[in-house]
Amino acid sequence: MSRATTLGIALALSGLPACTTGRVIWIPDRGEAPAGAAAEQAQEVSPFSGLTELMGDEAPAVAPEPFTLELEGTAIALEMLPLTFPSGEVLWMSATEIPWEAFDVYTYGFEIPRERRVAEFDGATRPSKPYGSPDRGWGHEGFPALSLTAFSAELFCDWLGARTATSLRLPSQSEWLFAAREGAAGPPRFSLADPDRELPSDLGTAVGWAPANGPRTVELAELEPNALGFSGLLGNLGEWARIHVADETAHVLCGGHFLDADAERVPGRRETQQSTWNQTDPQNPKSRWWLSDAPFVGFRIVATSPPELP
Amino acid sequence: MSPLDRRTLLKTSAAAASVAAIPRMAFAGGQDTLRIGLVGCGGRGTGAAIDCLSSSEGIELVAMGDLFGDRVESSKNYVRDEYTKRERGAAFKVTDDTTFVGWDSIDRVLESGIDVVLLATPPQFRPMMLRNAVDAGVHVFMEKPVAVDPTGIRSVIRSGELAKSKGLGIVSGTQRRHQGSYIDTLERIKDGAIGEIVGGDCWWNQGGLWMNLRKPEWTDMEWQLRNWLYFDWLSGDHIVEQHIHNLDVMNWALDGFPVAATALGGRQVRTDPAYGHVFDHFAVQYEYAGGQIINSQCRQIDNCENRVGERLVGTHGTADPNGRIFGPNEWSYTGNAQNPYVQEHADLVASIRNGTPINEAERVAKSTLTAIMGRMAAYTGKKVTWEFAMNSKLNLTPAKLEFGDLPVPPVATPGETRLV
Repeated sequence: MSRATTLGIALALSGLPACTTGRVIWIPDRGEAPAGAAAEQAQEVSPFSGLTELMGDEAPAVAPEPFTLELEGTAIALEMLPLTFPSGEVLWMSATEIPWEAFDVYTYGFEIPRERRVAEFDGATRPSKPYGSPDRGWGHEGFPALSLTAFSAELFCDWLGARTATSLRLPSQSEWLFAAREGAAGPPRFSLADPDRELPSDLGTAVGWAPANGPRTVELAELEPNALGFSGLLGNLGEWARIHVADETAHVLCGGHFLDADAERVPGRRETQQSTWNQTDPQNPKSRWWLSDAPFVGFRIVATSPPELP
Repeated sequence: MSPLDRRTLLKTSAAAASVAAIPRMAFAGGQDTLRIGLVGCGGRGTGAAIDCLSSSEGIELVAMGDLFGDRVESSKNYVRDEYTKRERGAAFKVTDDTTFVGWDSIDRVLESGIDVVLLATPPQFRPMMLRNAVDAGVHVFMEKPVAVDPTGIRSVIRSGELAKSKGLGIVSGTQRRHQGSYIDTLERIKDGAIGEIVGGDCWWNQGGLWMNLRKPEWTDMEWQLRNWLYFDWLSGDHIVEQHIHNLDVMNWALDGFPVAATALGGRQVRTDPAYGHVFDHFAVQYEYAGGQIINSQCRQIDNCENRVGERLVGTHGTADPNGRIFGPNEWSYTGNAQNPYVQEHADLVASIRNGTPINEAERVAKSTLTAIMGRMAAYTGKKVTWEFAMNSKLNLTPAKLEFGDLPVPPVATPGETRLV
């Protein structure tokens, strides 16, 4: 992702009003004019038109290989799996949600040798150091990083991309859906009784999701991968993805999370950020980086190409 | 605030008022207008000004002050915008004439015809500002901690007594005291849900916090003020600045204050001079009058196991005072999650309006002293009794509060640093 794109996103985010209307959106895709303002908005940002564009009959010339995205000298080692769309387009998506040990490198500057860290640390372009323990005591290494804003997630991509010579960004919702639906082509089916509700039975299975210790995250290694090799898409944390609204990039949280009932953890579920997600951040302005009251928010990343060879 | 939010809050606030002496829901009903002044316009002070407005009807912000012009201006602009967004723009009444910069801005704010002052400067200044506010006959919301040394603690206790005699309210920013999950759990514990408390643990273990690299034009004093976390005389060290929250909960559970503390601590990893002279870890053993031992840990070191919270052990079970009882009387809090940072203002405002102002000064002063005695024990390596700490002559305030030279004290060395 180019610097210009990132700045554009940052500006768009800072210009967004505090969202008080955020809610769960069940995405309709029935080809008919939806009624009401909410439905209109949902249609406007429906990802399935994008999904259609990813469909096609071009086969990739060479079967893409997975790779491990590493940042030397740090704990960052992200398994990136290829996602081949019927259109022939290929992306690599992280097999899991981004773990704390990877995000910590960004927050605390662990890629900078310790003796130079104080002088070279640029606090303006890194997450603020949290006052408290955002992992909620649920586990750190091997557990997904949580409570992060979409702004944090985008800038993590930019930061890691620059250091690994890889083009990284958050997935679009279409791309995310394609992975979550295990490559299923065509629009999702909807319940006859509740036409706005996507049918879980039609979708990628929410495998390996059984939090034994109440509503909280589980270790990434405990989650079974879906048919494409991705784990945790329909559970653990909700995940940030990009959508486009009126030529601007915005973000939605996809796929459901540990607070949701089983039937709610489906690919078509998404939420927009609400003011309650950071209401007890005691500082004002409230953090651009952390969501004090949204421990159910996480992310994964995509690469549009493998790392450039030196 | 949207009309919908306001309706909801009004409805719930009316319901809560009928069942509790101190309303447990935010949004205290408006009677007379309360005029508010803010001193200390950093992120927390700015937040407090907004939380206070959100808490109650009939609030007006009329004056703001800070030592630094850049802080007061950015805060003013932010608060004005937030008030406008909440359709309460008319409540923002700060003008250029009621915006104050400098060491004496507390006095200028107090002269602005205010009813309540919000004190959110670094804790060094709290005892002096509290005293001035009480002398001026003004109610107080003050952030925690409320002092950095025993001299300051005694001043806060005296001001609290004076406030009581004058009918003034004082609420402090130990917001767990205003948080439903803690209030309900502590009630159950006091009703015997885990039997007699025999001990407990509390933690504030996390990574490091923000730091501002020194600019060439800054004097020693300005550099230290803009990095106040890292200087004992300004913050009290992180055991006082941060861990007081957990220690206050332990005192709450045990209905008292520790009789003695012994401690380990040091500055092992965060050693760069940019971080002043404070420690990066403490482990304190507190003894209480009933023989209970509370083990406390606090750490600000990156890339280590983190934990923030408390645990109590009783003869019939254990508790996480933030909403869980374990054992025969197993229970989980399912009540509302009202924002405690707003609730603490709602409680203060409601108590002022109903003529029985809350006065938390002595309690929060003694919980702050709990943290200070832990620091004294860690810095010196000695056992520190409550009586010693309460009577200690330790006074960290520099001889002169003015911009200029101010050497950094040496890092404390257990076994050598003298217990004062």
